[in-house]
Amino acid sequence: MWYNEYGKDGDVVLSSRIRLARNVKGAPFPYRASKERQRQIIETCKNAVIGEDSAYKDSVKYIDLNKMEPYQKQAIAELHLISPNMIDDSIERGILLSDDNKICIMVNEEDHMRIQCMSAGFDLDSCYNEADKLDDMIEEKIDYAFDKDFGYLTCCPTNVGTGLRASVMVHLPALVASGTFSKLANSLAQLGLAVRGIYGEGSKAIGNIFQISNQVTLGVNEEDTIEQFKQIIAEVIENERVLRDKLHKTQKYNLEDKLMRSYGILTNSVLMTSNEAMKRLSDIRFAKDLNILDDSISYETLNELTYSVLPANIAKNYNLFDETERDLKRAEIIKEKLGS
Amino acid sequence: MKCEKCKVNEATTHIRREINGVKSEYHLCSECAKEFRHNNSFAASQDFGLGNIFSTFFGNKPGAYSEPEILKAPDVCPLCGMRYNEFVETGKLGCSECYDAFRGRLIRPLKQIHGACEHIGKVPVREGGQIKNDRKIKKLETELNAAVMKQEFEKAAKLRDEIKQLKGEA
Repeated sequence: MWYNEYGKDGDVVLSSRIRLARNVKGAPFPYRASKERQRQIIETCKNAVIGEDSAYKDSVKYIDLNKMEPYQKQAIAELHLISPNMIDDSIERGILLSDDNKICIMVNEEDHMRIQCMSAGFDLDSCYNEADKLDDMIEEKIDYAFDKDFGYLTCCPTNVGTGLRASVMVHLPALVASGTFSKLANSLAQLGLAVRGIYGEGSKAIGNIFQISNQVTLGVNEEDTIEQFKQIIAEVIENERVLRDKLHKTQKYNLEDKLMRSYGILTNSVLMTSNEAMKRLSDIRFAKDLNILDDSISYETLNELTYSVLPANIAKNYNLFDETERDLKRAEIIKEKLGS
Repeated sequence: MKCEKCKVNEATTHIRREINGVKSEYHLCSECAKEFRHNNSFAASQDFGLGNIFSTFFGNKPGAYSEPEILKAPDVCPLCGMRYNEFVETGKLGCSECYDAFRGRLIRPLKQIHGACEHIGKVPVREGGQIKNDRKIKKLETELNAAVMKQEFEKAAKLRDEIKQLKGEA
């Protein structure tokens, strides 16, 4: 799956995503709609995306989130396929998910549809092309809520216009370690970008992983939004790489010692909490970037670990609902993957 | 610190505002702050009525001081029943028709959020023809004005014909 793959500039950018917010004309937004209306919207969206004559009818499946347990939904949110909002089942909700998980359309999130296309590494173009194609296809079946002045109409006016949110998941250990991260976050904010923790709005950054996204959706077109965003992210990547080098040159033994101690702990622990795991995995990812980690450990392994050690994924994959049992399992999974 | 306005009471309120990129800060006592807020909210509400000031000038409407347009704008979305005040509280609109119902009031907040209130991105194919046409006409009109200013009359004549054609007047 894309979230395990190592893509372009994968030493800094874990993954890229494009999201388009779309609504059906004349229907109340999900939170103001009756259950009946919410179900109608789901049917309308399903029909547009995976109906009989759709090119996606074999590769995309509809998953009813209201039929799932909270921890199962949490596990999907941990993979960033859905936003944490989707776990709340007071609204009829579901996702249209492709077999390769690169397409995930959230139905009845804040908007009727949130078309998301994802990819490994720094690759917003392929995400946008796919999202754009899907959007065109859906539009043949659905009358979108659109206004010639305001563009695509959305529940929250912060998304109105293009409805486009471009985002990247980045690992920035050197920017954090050197204390320049808050400065960077401030300048990104001035450029109209938001920096958030790994789980989006209001979440904390764990394991030095951040989500950066554009905020402005009105008065700019899609191409310029993405082009400007890409240029800024390219700067962030360059900054992070320079700082990694600098840190390694100036504090070689201290840094290597700190990072490799995390490797020691990961490969020998009996109990491992998810927070500690994320923190230590960030260390060995950094060690990998500096070429001081054993070659047998690939980025793909590290990516896979980053997601598979999260609480709901362990609960779902191993049927473990006790925290200590999970901590035990987590330590076991890590040791096995890191080959010790 | 003493209040910057009355210079008598102790300043208890710190007000920061930004208008058209100009930042200003005030340290005021609670009395003066109250007055400040009242005056400024009044100024802001008058902004919305600009269209009306023009119409007074151009005589479109009888009566020199009729109520500002904004107060006549509907407070409730006719489709979903959402009240404008609810939107102010939650930041969420009720349905796509709300944008139409509250159009005049949304322009200002949209400009604050996005720095613009005009969509220039993708348009749905089916209803897009007209919009694309309008955008092209707008662009050509800008070029036409520039050509006239530069006294490039031959070019201007060409542009004018092109605009006529797009408008279906040719």
